[in-house]
Amino acid sequence: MRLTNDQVMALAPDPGSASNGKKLANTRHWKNLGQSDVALWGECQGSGKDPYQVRVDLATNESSCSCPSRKFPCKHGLGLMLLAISTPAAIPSGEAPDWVQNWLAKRAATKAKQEAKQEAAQSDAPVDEATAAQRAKDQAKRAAQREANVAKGLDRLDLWLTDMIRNGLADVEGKPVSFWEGAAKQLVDSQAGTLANRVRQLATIPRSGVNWPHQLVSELGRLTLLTAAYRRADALDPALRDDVRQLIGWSLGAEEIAARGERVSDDWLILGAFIEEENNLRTQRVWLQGATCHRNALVLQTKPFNTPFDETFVAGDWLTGTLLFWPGAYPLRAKVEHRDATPERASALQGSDSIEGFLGDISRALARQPWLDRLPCVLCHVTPIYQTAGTRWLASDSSGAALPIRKGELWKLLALSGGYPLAIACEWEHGALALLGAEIDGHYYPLGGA
Amino acid sequence: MAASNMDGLVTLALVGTARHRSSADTATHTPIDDLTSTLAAAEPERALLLRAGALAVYRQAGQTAPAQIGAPTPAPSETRPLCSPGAAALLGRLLKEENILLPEALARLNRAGQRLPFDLLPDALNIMQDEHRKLLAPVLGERGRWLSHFHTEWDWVEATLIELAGELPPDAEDIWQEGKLNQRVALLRQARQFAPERARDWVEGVWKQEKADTREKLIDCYEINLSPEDEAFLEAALDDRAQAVRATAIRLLMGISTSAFAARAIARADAVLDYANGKLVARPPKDFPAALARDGLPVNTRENQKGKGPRATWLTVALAQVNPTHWQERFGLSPDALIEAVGEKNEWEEAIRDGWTQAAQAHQATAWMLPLWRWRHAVEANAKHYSHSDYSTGQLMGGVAAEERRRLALDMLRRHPLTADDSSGAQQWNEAVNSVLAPWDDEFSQAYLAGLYAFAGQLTAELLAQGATPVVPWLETLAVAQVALAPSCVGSATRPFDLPPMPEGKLNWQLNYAHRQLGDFTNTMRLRQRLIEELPD
Repeated sequence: MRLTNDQVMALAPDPGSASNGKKLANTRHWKNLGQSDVALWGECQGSGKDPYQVRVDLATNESSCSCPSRKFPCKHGLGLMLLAISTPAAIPSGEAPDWVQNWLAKRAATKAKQEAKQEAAQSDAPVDEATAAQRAKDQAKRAAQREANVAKGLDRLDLWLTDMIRNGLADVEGKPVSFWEGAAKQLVDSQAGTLANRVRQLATIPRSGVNWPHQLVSELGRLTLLTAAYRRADALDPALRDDVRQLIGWSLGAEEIAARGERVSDDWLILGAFIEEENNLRTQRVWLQGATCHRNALVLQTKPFNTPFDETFVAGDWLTGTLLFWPGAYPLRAKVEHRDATPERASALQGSDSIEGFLGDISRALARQPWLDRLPCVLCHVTPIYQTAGTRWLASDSSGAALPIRKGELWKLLALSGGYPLAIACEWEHGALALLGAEIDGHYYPLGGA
Repeated sequence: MAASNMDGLVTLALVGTARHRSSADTATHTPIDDLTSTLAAAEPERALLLRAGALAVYRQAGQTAPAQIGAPTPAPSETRPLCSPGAAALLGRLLKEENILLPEALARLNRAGQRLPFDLLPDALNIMQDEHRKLLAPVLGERGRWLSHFHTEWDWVEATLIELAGELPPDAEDIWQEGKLNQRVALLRQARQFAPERARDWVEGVWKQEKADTREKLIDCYEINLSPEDEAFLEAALDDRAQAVRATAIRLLMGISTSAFAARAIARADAVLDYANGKLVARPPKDFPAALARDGLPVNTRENQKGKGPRATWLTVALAQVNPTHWQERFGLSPDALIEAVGEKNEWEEAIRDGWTQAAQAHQATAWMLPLWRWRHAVEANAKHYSHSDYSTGQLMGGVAAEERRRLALDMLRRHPLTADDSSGAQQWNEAVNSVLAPWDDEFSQAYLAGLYAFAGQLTAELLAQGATPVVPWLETLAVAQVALAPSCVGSATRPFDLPPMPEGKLNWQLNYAHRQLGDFTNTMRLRQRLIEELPD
């Protein structure tokens, strides 16, 4: 088990599972424990007659259990991992029993199938000409319908925005959430779902602080700019056109991403992740950095509330594999195409040496894609500062320039630094940093918090 | 001037283009103006929004870093080496859980001359328990001390370091004048030990202007190195406005045998307790002089305690203020003989028993502890209703000399082992075993483990199903045993217990409880085994 206690606890879907898992990290609950290079297993006595069969894939840290719980990982999986950390001697090395081997084989088969499917999608599967022509025709018809639909939606949005400015934003302060929600829903009906989310977000701005009118005008402006760009998409650079269309709601199909996206193989350090909950959906943003290519990547996973994410990413852990980047003017978003376990290795974060340098990177990124809301920020040589007076946290470089840090395990960061510079990884948003982790002497400490 | 460009647009947007008479100037005086003029926008509203959007991106891209206000002095370099990664992982877990094994782990780390890793420092500084803090302070290292200066709730570190030092710090005078309360208290405790004259001067210099809760904390320090020199100050404190200060003054004056207070207490007690014809006779007064309130005696006749009458309460307090060795001298009898002389039919028996119990504890009258403990258990055993031994009974055992406690407990383990079907005297047995000073020595640890495994071997499902409670006393010693067992015996305590399996479909509460408690014990012993391996002595 290469994870730490804290990392396993961070996998728990809720505090109840975490504490139940902790209770199960005791050999008295377990039978037939064992581990190999690729897996960890054991049988846990539950309330039923037959013990639950629990197994963990050591490459991905994903577990499976025969219990009926819909939580993932369930308390048994967590308990087994915690036990492996606290009492490694209790888990002998050996050959996996059939029920573990079958599971591993099934996983490998599913993975192979997925990969084959992707490959099939990439290569032109032979179909007869008539079918191909009919398919293309249907597709074009659907696309044209949707184009018209979206265009109508954007026209209505423009009217709504124009009205708002004509009557003055002072009125907006007292509007109920339904005011914004209505506009968002209209866009959803017009098949412009991503833009709808942007409109929905506006509801949080009024009364959010003294500066809300500035913020609202800025966001409404960026929104108008986006719809203007969409209407002139043909005049845009192809990469930016992809971005603009996605920001409206045209998602790229898996085949398209596979065909046009860039593949990068490397050892990827999982810098950390943030989870946001909205509209009964949970979205996880996972930030990674390649050890050799030094590229930053963002993996997004969205699932309904109470449904586990498809893939497990443990902050501070490594994955060896291939990331497939979405095509775009400033490619950040990626998905994991292939993943293997990584032997333990030292980290060496790559980023800006100064805050001015980082802000220059931001300028260049926005010049390529002006609607980027969040960007990765790795600062290689900054000192965290806590201002007792304003209870403010800052990251300062050697020139004395500083950026505010708004969240993360900041006391731990201060303890690690001791007033000396270190490297930090963050997410940049609205001019402030959300801490993901810090690196000292080749060791990466995840500090994103639970 | 990006802010003011935006201001014009925001003002116009807030008011609304409909209400604005003339066509407003939306120029931003940036390159944005040329750029947005190429965008076709029929209505002024749309032109405004496009311009605002472009300006927002322009400003975002042009963000500059605000200058900071000055970095703190970095932490000094460490003098202690870092512990091993294995020890760090273990310590991290123990700190997070504030685990029962944390004190041993910290003590081992300290003995090894090592320190905690930096990333564990916030968890360590958040520990609340005083005993844990004393063990933590030396292993926080320079970094921990540096970090503690940033958070008011972490100021215990400096205070604890002052208290742990073998001498007064060089800047003692400054700390006393300007330090935080807990630092001043820590300093005063040190001064009471190393410079009592200075300590008295310090307190008397500030006493009048301090608030009641501060006075309470300062006077508490007088228990260190208490001497006749303190009498005048404490006697004056009997007139303090704060009740807690007065109570502490009484408690401390009792401890100065030559004090006027002690003489008054003896005179009061002598007047109400007499010995004649092999019997002790108590005659508490019927009226309580108000003047005695100053010495802590009850004056209000309605002031009953634990269902005792006011006279009994008065008697208990009067006796509690006198060192019980006084009665040995006065009547020429041993503690056992004095208890015998109280007699079972004495109407003041309970009042005398409680008074002597409190007195024995307050004056640390070691010779009285065991006789009083036996006396109280005998009374409890005869009580018609079942009752657990009360708190003060258990406390008495702690006052018995350490060697005597160990002898008694070893004797109970070997000669009167608590078996699965006989739990008589369980409470005494429990108190005796739990009172043996940690860490236990090898001999005692082995005797304990032999008894525990033998007991677990006797447990059967049938026995437990009967619903009697023989399991509990043994299990109540596990919490003490898991930290007190000699390190050399920990390995043999990791062997799981051979308990009967849980019967299917039937809930056996007793058996479930035994499974859980003994299972947790085994688990803790395994953890402790790891701890001993990671941080060997």
